[in-house]
Amino acid sequence: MTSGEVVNEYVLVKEDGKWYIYRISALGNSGSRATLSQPIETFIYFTKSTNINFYGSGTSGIYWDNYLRDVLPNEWTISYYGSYPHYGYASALASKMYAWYYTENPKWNFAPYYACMKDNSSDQNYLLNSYWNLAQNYRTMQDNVMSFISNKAIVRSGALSIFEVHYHATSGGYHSGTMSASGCLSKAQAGEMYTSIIHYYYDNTSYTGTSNTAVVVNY
Amino acid sequence: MRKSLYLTIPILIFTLSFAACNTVEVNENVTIKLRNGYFLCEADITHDGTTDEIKVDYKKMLKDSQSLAKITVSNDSGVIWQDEVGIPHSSWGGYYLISEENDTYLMFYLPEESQGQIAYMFQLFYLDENGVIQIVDEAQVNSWESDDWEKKLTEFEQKVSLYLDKGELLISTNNCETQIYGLE
Repeated sequence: MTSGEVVNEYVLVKEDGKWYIYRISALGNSGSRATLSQPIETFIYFTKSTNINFYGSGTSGIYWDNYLRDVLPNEWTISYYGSYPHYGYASALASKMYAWYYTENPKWNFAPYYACMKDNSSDQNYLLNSYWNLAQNYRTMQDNVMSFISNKAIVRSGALSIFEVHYHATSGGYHSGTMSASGCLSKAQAGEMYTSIIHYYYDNTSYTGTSNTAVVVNY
Repeated sequence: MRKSLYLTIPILIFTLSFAACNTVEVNENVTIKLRNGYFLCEADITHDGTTDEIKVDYKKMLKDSQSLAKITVSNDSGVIWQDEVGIPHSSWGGYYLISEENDTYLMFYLPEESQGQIAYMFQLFYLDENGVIQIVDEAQVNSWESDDWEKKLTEFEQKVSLYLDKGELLISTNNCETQIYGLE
């Protein structure tokens, strides 16, 4: 439950029982409602034998929620989601927006792929049933995060449009457009909110435009 | 009494021989003991003249892809440093033991290629007596940071290969592929 109150150029935000102070410019348009439509499905080119055995070789459409559900366990350390939910929110939003951007702007729209993304590290590792192969406690943690981000998107301020996001295991830095997974975890462990983590990595980049922040909106 | 002795002695001999044949003397400064689900390296990582113990515990990781392998360094005062690597992209990482002249170092090495970007990094280090990392050499090449990243990557790879030639892989999970010392 989040509530906010503007105090001069700062806003006090209460989340999970704690109060945080943010500059308004850093908070951007968080909480505002935008007109965005998330994809219904995405098209994935398969390289992994488990996927090929099920879908067949080549490219196939996957329902949006199923794609994200089976990507997160391969891309992020779900076991941290319980202790550090803001790591979960920031990381899951990064994966969601990566997929969203390349579903609207297919990365492999040429022979022999004709796909939005591949199922491997060229994009995000998608493996059929990864979610169901998680232990029940991890599935619950992922469910909670998925539920939280289900109507949220990261957009550039001003135009409120989606943009290209990236993340890596250890690399990435301040306003680089690339989130460091280890940095994201450290910040969440230090008590930072997911919006603050997203601002740190995705504000004012070549992807957002150097005068635009990266804001989380409801849609 | 005699019957139990008959049983105890072969078990003891088997246990001792098993332990012996699973101990690898990498060089005069490094010994690795293979165990079930983990291994122990004896080396002077704190550069204080005494042997420290590096434990790489990967048992849980092989059973559950969300569990992380733990790398710990202990000296007489207990665990002084630890890190984790795992199979999900967010916890990819690789640790190597590098022997240079008479000193031994740990090296974190992650040549990451994902999402159409290159993010290579390494850090060669030893620990002080409190477990604080003392960096001896490090480099990082990120393809999104400069136009001449390919030239930098060539220099990076040349440098890293010199270290890797003097090293042993302990564990790596880069690109969701696990490589563990002593396991094929």
